[in-house]
Amino acid sequence: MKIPSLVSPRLAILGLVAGLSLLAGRLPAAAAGQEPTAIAVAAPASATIGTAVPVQARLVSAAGPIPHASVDFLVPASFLGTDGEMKVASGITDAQGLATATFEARITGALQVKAVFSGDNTYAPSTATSSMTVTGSKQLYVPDIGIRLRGLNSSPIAQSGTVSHWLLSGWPIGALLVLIWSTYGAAVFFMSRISADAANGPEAAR
Amino acid sequence: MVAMRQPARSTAHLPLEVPAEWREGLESNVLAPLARTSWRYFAWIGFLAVVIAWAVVMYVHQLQTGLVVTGMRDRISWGLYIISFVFFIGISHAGTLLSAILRVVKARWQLPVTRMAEFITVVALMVGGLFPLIDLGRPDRILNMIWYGRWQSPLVWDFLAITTYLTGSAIYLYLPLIPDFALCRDRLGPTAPAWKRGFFNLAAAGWTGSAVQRRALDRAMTIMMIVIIPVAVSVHTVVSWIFAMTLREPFNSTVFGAYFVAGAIFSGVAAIIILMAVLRRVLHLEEYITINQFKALGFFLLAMSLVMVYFNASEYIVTGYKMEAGAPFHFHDLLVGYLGPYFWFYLVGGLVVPALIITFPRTRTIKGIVFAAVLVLIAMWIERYLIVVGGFRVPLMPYTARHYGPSLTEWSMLAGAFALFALIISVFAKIFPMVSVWEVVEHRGPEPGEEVLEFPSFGSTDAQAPEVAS
Amino acid sequence: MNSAELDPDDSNTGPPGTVPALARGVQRRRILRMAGSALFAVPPLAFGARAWLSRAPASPLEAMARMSSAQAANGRLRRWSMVIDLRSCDGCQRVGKPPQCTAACIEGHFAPQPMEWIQVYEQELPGNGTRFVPATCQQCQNPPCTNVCPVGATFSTPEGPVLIDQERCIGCRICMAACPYDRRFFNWATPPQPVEALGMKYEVEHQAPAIRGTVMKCDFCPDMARAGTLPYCAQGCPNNAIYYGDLEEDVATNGKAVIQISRFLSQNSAFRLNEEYGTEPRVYYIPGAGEAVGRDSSKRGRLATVWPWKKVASGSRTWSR
Ligand code: SF4
Ligand code: SF4
Ligand code: SF4
Repeated sequence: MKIPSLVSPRLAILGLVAGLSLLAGRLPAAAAGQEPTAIAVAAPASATIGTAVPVQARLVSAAGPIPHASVDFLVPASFLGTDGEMKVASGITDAQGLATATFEARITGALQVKAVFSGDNTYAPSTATSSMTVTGSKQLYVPDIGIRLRGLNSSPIAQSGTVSHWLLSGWPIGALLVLIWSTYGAAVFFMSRISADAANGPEAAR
Repeated sequence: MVAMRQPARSTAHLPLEVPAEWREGLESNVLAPLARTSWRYFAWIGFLAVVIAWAVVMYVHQLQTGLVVTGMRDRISWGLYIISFVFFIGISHAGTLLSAILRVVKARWQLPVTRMAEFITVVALMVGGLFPLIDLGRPDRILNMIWYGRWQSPLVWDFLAITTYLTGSAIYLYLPLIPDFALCRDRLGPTAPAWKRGFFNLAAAGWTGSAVQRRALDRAMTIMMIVIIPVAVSVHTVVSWIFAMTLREPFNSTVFGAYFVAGAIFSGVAAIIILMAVLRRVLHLEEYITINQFKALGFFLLAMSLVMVYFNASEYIVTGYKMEAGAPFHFHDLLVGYLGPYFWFYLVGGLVVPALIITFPRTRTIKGIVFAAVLVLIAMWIERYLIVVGGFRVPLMPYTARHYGPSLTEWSMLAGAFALFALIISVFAKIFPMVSVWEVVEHRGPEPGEEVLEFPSFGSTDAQAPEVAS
Repeated sequence: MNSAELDPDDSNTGPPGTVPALARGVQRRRILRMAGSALFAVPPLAFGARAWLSRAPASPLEAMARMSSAQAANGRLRRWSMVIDLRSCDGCQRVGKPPQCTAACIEGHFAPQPMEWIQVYEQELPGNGTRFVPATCQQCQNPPCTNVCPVGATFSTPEGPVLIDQERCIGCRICMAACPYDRRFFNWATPPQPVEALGMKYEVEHQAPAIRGTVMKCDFCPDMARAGTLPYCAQGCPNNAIYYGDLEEDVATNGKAVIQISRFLSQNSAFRLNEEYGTEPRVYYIPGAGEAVGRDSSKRGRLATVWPWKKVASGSRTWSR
């Protein structure tokens, strides 16, 4: 999978450890018995909608990386009057404290990808964000209807237009009807010969 | 002027081998009702008119109030109207189909009944076609079918199929009527009213029986009798598709088209037998319509009842064996539940008993065969009831199945439809000869029923045609 | 069969074919005959020519077609969808009221009695329990109801909702036969609607005022969504069990939280009603029996829906489903 501009993990770790030592005194006050933690998140600076976006977080405590911890990735979203953060992915940290995941970007604009470690009995919760820009205008969702038959499964709005469309969409039925009705026409044609010969009496056949 | 031509036409266009007095008898018998009308006839017409008027009143009430006056509701959203639609289209089926098949194979015994069979088709189609209109919630918008009609809708298929079939049947009815119209025209007494004279003159289309005319008629009829067979079969298939195109459990079946066609022929043959018996009695046609015709149609009915058994087996065994969701409910309904009595009447009274009646020579009399036909007709009406109501009753979601009872309005409309059916037939019987005189005369040789395999001269090739007329 | 053929003088004119006047007559008849036969091609063609005539009766559906569809910020078309979390639906047992989604929808749309466009069915579960399944129109992506409509009165919009144009519907009810979810309602009589509904301008997306002899159903409230609010039913749910969203941006909300639909569906083993029909509904369900709001699955029953109209249109009457 292509990871276009993800910060190299090694650099991230170095940065993290450096940052952590700086911030050590400013870690959020942990509940009793919980060790303070720090999390860092890395995401590409830009992405196109419909592509898988790799995200990575590193979770550490003063004692080093925290393995086997669950990290959620959230992006802020505002929809129909409700603002919130929607969870788009989650991962479990490995021995280096790295949690990796991907999500499909669907909403365009500037996103703050947020990594959340919610804490457990040993470790205190922590969060971090990283900004990215999502662009693109491709229509992504395609109605999923299996086989498409012309004229079926589609809206009549789409077909209310032209004569040709209408005639084409039903041509087998139309052709069948024309066939049957022209047979009738043939019968009527012969029938009309009867009156055409009205002048001749039966003796005329001799 | 008309009188001047009469002698030349009336004698020359019929074959001469037929004994003159027999032909005279046939002609006067068949044409008699066209000339005389008794008070009983008017009383009958009056009765039918009252029934129809009642149905019209009820229909107006339905228009004013909405379909709430019927027993239909959201969960059983089609009822008696669609049942009757299917039933009448079914009846219409056998007439033309039977007549066409028998003409194609040149079966001679049927000649006296073809006319009636074709009439049933046309009349039943006209009456049956009314039911979808009665059933509409917005009949005032019926033209939307033209403005916005969609090829994709089974109802549009129905609309197209039925107009096509009705037109074809009308042509097919009219063609063999031409020589008989000519006969009527020539036989009209001097006292006949002008409108009658005018009508027959027009309807006879100048038929004189010349070789050219006979050949033309022959060709036209050959075309029609062949094309009408596939049309008839497909029409009822299309009717079944208004059900089979849905996802409901008992409707969702590929055998439905064929099942409906078989049912249609079955009920149609029964209708022909009944109409034949009635007209035979009323119009005094005993001499031409004999036990032979009844027996032949009775055997056909017997065969069709076996075909129906086959179709019921393939429909019910296949679904009943697997018992998909919905099927257990449906089978419970049919076998022991809500629809049980009807279902068992249909199986026993509609399929087994008529078959037995026709099987045993002792009961294979005209009365017996007509009785069997009546049973079949009732049973086939019930079968449509079972299909429609039974199908709609199967719950689609977790709700209690709804009951359906036709309301007075619906029954009135059904009575009105039967009355209209009888009325049109009665009026037609006054205007049109109910037996195809020229065909019967032309093919009279041995008694009906004997030497059926001998090919009659109808359908003659061009080379033969002059001989016939000479 | 023109009158000349029936003219009795014809036969006395002389041997056929020798009199020029008659010959002309034959010629004329032949042309007439040709024309007569050609007439028989007319009915199918007339049906075919209806496209030319379809500039006839304008109907709201055409207005719909011209209307701009709802679009996300960057011009992508919305694809409305719904997720109903059955874990949170207790049939409004907790609040001790009839299902509030239904009530809200009825009030918002003036839905005539007895129509419950969103109906809360009680479904038996294995074991002794039940669960409540609120069912809107499933907004099928392969909708059997629109396929069968003879006049195109019911149709799918590009945004997904399946709508009905009650000013075009002829009331044939074949769509009700075709809908496998019991989600269509017919106006069997003059529908009992409050008087304020009668004054409204009819719109396909709101269906008020209701019209006798036509079919109605849940319209999925695309007008509400376009205006930026949740549908009435989602707003009405006290447990926030109904999420409404956009499959294009993959986002939905129940008024409290925002979810990514795709993830939410997979993570919670979502299902759709009767997948085997192939109707591809746009309404998804998260399995559950109200446990998230403390319902015990053995507690049965919900209160019956009431229609709050004090004063309904005159001449209307209600019916049972
Ligand atoms: S009832 Fe109305 S919407 Fe339904 S199929 Fe008929 S015309 Fe179409
Ligand atoms: S649920 Fe029924 S009414 Fe709704 S779209 Fe599907 S088939 Fe049509
Ligand atoms: S989406 Fe709208 S119409 Fe459908 S049930 Fe909800 S409120 Fe009613």
